[in-house]
Amino acid sequence: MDDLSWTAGLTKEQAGRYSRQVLVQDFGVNGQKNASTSKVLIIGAGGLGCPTATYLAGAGIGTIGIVDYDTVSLDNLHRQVAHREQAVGTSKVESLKIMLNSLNSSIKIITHEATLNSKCAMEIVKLYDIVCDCSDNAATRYLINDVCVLLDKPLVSGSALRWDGQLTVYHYGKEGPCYRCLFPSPPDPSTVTNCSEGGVLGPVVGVIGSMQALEVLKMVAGLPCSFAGKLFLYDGRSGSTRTIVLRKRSPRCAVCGDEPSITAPIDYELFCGAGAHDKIERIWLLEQNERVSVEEYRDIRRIARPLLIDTRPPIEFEIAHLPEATNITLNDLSKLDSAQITEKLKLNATENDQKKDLFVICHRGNDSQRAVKIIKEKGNFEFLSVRDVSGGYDEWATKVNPNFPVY
Amino acid sequence: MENNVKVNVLFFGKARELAECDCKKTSLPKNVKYEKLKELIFQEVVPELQSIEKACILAVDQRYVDQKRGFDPDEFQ
Repeated sequence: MDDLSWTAGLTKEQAGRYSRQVLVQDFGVNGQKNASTSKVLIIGAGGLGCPTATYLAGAGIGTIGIVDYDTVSLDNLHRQVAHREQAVGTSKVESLKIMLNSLNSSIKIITHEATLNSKCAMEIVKLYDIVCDCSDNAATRYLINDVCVLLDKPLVSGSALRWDGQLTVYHYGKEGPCYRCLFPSPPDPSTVTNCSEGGVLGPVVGVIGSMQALEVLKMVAGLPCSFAGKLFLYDGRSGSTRTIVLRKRSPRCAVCGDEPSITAPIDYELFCGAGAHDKIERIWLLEQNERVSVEEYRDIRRIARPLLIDTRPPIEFEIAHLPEATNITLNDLSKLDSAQITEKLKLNATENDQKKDLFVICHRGNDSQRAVKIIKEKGNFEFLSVRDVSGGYDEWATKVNPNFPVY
Repeated sequence: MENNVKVNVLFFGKARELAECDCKKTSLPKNVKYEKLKELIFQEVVPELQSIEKACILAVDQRYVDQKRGFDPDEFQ
């Protein structure tokens, strides 16, 4: 009998590469064979996408798709550990593809360098069996959720901020809830903190991203998902974890309910009132005469030391600030009364009759405008001309002092 | 009060940031409908959370609560 090319379960190469996971009870040969024919889409090649994609590539998922519009930046690297310094400024999906190919050349990596939106999402998602939401904003989360329900794909959703991480598997099984069943209304954009503002620790996204990959492996092996209909909460600071049992699918859900009102993707930026990205959007609250440019402020401070309020959180103030700045956060400005603010600034209203200049600065020029409004609404500051420094420290670093730390 | 029960309200994510603490001890009626529980939490116990109320979910003893299921501590004993 000529049986030299015959294999019972795995090829020689598969057995050699994947033996340590094939030996795991309940995963086994069946799990490995299914993995090699599975197609998994990872949306977001950032902090969550890097570990999720890396472990799935290592495990031999046959086809991995990656969606991201962004380029790698230096401040990504502490947590987005699949990217390399040489990749800064280049496409995230290409950077991740290079890394995954170098880890496992036997699998197929498909890149989708695009902002996932209502037009392209259905076409992309339909190519895959399982979707991992590794995105960073509400509009994309609702879009991914709706598309997964419409195309009947399970959704492994992760999120992380600061010390905390969360994980849920949505739209899994007949009664599994979707994101909308739990959150029918999007958050007010002004209450959303993202990683650029709030920060996040690398190992926290590592934990959640790794767990997303593990949920996918259970799915492909035909094992029950641990977090379908459950919300896993991870507090990295205290080291504690909790699992919340969620509701079942809501019959009244707008997308997965019994009589859905959403039967095709909608305009998610309109629905959420925010862009499908985690970048800070510039606002314009003040009139032109209530603002100074960074160059104007540079010239003003050359003549005399101005009064400057820095509204950033103390931790950002500690990174870097101008020497004349007094740190009073936006929150404190709202809470303090006029007398307390006067005291903090060591102001003396009776010094002379001439109006004093008070400037406000922040990271990017949004909170400084809010602060000017707050100060003016307090009253009792008629002796002050209050203006903000347009563009904040970011613009100061770009146009005035390139040595000023940017973050 | 006899009709009340002591509870620890735990906060996660943005709620923790706004409440400026991980946990708040309070007293709630032993039996309360979901809408009343929501009102008590977001209006009286932690009014700082009003801005995110519509984007919050409540869980009692790590189980989601909604209109169908209010707060009844006996249910968990």
